[in-house]
Amino acid sequence: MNPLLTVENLVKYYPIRRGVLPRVVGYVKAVDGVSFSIGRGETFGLVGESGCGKTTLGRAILRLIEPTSGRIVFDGCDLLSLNAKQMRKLRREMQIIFQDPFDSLNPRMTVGSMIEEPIIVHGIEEEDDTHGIHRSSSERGGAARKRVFELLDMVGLPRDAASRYPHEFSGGQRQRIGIARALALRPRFIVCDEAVSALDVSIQAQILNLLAELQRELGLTYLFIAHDLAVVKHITTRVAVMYLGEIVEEAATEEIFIRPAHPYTQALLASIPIPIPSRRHASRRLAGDLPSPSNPPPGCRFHTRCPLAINECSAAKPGLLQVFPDHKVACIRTEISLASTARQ
Amino acid sequence: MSPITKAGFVIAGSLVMLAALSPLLASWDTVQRQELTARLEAPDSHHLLGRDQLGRDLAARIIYGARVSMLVGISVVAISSVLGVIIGVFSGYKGGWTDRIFSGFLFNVFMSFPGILLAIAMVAFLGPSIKNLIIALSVIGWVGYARLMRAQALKVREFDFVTAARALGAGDFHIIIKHILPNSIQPLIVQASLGMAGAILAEAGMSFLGLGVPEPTPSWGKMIDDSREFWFTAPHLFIFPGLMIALAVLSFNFIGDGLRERLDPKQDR
Repeated sequence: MNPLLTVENLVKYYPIRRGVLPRVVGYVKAVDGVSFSIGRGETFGLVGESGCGKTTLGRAILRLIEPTSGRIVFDGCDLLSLNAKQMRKLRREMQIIFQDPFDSLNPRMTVGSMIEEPIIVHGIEEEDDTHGIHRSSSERGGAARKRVFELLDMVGLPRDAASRYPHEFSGGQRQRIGIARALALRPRFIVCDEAVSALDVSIQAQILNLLAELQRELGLTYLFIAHDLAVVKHITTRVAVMYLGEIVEEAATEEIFIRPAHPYTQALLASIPIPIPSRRHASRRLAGDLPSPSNPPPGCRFHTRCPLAINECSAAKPGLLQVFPDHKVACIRTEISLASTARQ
Repeated sequence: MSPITKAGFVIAGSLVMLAALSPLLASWDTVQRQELTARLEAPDSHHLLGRDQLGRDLAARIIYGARVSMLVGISVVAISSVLGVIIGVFSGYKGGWTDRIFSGFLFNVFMSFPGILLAIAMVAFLGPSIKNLIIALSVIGWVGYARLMRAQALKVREFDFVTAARALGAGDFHIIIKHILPNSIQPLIVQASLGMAGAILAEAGMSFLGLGVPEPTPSWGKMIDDSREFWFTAPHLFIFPGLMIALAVLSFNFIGDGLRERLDPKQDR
């Protein structure tokens, strides 16, 4: 099956400038050579701790941040070769849902005008206009209104929400508004950037269910960025684990939960709190902090914190290799790490 | 709202009314009519504020002087804030080289001139008239608004709703009008009311130096200038215009401070 989105060797470096006459003294390597592809209708999870570059990656895919190099192919179209006008047109196909439901809604716009905005920006419903029927602006306004109500129904908000302002809503409701806005242009692909991280657990479940429902109804494809593996387990079909700007492991969701191969993935899984006291085990905590992405460790970037690291780990960077069918890992100690999880 | 802010609104409102209704309160003829026999007459029941060095009614001149002060104040604030908003928001929103040229170079060049000296030089060059005075004060005034709006735009453009608008395919113009401006304009109201006070004071200063409004239009600053020879013999000539300038400046400063406290959530009490 040909994928909807393919990312090849995507790189985003931020230059660090110093001095009176600023010159570049180094780079923050936020995303450093990431490749993956997402099939149609799939939910692809991207996990990693704060600062690993997952948000930068999500935004670079939509060209909200201009990538330094690499290739992004969306439905056969190379995004980085498009000019600004072509890109704007393609934006209706791909949307984003944000983490912070307070930051992501303009406090001075009503919910209705916010959801209507994309429709106005792109011109009303082209499928209707192709019939050569010229409609007056009030008729067009009516059509936009109708679409706003449709979207509010879709995300489970009352229709009278349209005339109210964002501050009148709770976090979960605000996230629904953000989803309605993202759906307004009937996109095929949505980046959910930590879409539920800021919500209470009970509300998280509601929003996750809503996203899953919308995916079934509208045939959406998601890139689901999260730091919470429990959330990822619930909604995704495939998962990639990111560490310091690189993907260290990629596999089907079930596979990664049953058979995590990279020591970092194992540490992440061990950090999920288990609500059953008898099954609680001494979690393998990672020592130390995330190293600076402006000066990543040589070789395997994880070796400074890895419990299984040996000298060779700092010598050469391990490639992302297939260890099981549809399961790739970048670690030279895979066999040992697999054996250690098998024992547990 | 504190009583001081309320007082500011009442006084400023009365001054604006005074300026707007001045033709009803005194005729232009009263302003101009000279009675040299009655020059420097002290206030009495016929001429409430007395007469000036040419025997003109001081009350009428002060009422018409309000027109000049308000006209200059409002025009300067309007022109320089519109200019400042456009340049500042554009510079802050665009960032990069645009911002470096505007904020790094242009703003600093204008900030480095002593404002009132630049205005004096401009009026001396263009010739004294209300129009040239307004132009000169706007030229020195816009930078303050531009700096403020640049800082606001820099802050607001980082919000996710701006990123969302870009993700929707909205153009820069749309984003600035719909998202950046409505969320960054608030502190401008404070700046504008303080700027109003500054402009009124600057007009008085320029007129005092003879670079403001030419005769026969009365201006408070000019009236103080004319009174210089009679400070001891006829103090009412400078007391009343001086009082008006102080009242106008004070009232707009009160309004500015009051609004700042109200609009700044960190000072919420």
